[in-house]
Amino acid sequence: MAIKIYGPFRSPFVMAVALAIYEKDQEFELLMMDIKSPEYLNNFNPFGKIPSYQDEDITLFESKAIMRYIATKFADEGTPLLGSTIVEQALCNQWLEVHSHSFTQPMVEMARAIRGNPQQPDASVSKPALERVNNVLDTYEARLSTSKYLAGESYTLADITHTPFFYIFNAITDDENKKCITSRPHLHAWIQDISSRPAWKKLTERPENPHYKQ
Amino acid sequence: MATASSHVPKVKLYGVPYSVCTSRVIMCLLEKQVGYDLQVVDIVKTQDHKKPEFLKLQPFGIIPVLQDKDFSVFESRAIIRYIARKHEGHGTPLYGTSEKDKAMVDQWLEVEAQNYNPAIAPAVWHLIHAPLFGQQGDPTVAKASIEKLEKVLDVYEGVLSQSKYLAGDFFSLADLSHLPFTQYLINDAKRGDIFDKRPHVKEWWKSISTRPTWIKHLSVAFPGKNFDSPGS
Repeated sequence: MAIKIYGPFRSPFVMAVALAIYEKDQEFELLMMDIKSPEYLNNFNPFGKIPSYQDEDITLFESKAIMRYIATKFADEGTPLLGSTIVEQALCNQWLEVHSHSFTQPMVEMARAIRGNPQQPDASVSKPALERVNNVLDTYEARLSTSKYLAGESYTLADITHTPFFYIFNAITDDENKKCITSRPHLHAWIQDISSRPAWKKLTERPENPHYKQ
Repeated sequence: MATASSHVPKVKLYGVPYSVCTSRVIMCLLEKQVGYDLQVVDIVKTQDHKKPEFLKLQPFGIIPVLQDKDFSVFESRAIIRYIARKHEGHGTPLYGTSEKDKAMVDQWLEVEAQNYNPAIAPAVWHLIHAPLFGQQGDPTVAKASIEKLEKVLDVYEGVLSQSKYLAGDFFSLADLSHLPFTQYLINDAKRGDIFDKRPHVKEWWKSISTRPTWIKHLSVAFPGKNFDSPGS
């Protein structure tokens, strides 16, 4: 198979790359390798991280670089993922940066607290951590009250990069913490929209998905 | 070659020239020969970035923001991608010249954002900037940050032994993005040693930090300040 992705399915960064590939109507092989091995460090990712990507032309790492490459290489196939104007592309990149620098850390911090206390997930998130998540989600709510998707009217990589994070969030939270989403109508509607796409459904139904239920 | 003012209207840049993220954008504007008007957002004294007018432009209250005609974009690495794309046929080819070049630039710009930046930023904060904001720098955190940075530089040393710049044999957005924080660490915190002891990294730093555009920016952002010449 031409496209290979290296990394565990459960990583939201692996999932985002895989979703971009499916949105482009392409297929891929999902493979694992010892990320600390010289073979992986020398041939795939010298920082020893996942995901890595390989096709017949190139080997790449960093999920957002891989997604941009896929969006460009398969520009004429499947769903357009970089917006329809240079302005939408700029806003797509803007929200990809927001994901990296403002969104990921508070969400990961909250997920770690919940997973560290599976008996009482709702009680385990500290007040400041919850406040950080709510502050970030306020900005998303405000943005999504003015446009259908993050970059504008077009679905782009910016939305794709968030879908797996909210999927995991939904899987690990109880009703109290879910209110971070359900109390924000535009955010909630957007998550439902991006999570009901056929490419995402196809991805979640892969047997490697640890949350997959028959 | 035509200057920016003759071929394209100026953009408006909100920020301050000594800020790392604003510098990143200014450097890109200089390389692409795009004129700009700087709208000062004082983040130290008057805390303009926390005021409602600025929050309308940037909801996270962070500089810089670029306004180009009727649209605005924030996040410095998104801004530089926009400028490089919009002015592709003009100034330095910061995305290279092929699709493969562009993919490598995107990869190494992500590396800067995800690996280099988190390692260098705490050191610069705790060693240099914390007191400016009325806080105490923590040398233990700075030390841990430098250790992390050295591991990243070990990878860079390997990469730069194969190519002149990060994404290939051309100066790109990826190299550019490293300039502002590195300048602070080397010139203000006096930690050039960690770059000098890696010969390819040392050569790369010398090359990118002596670009006339960067020298010009430093003279404007830090008037009257002396900077050590790399490689001397």
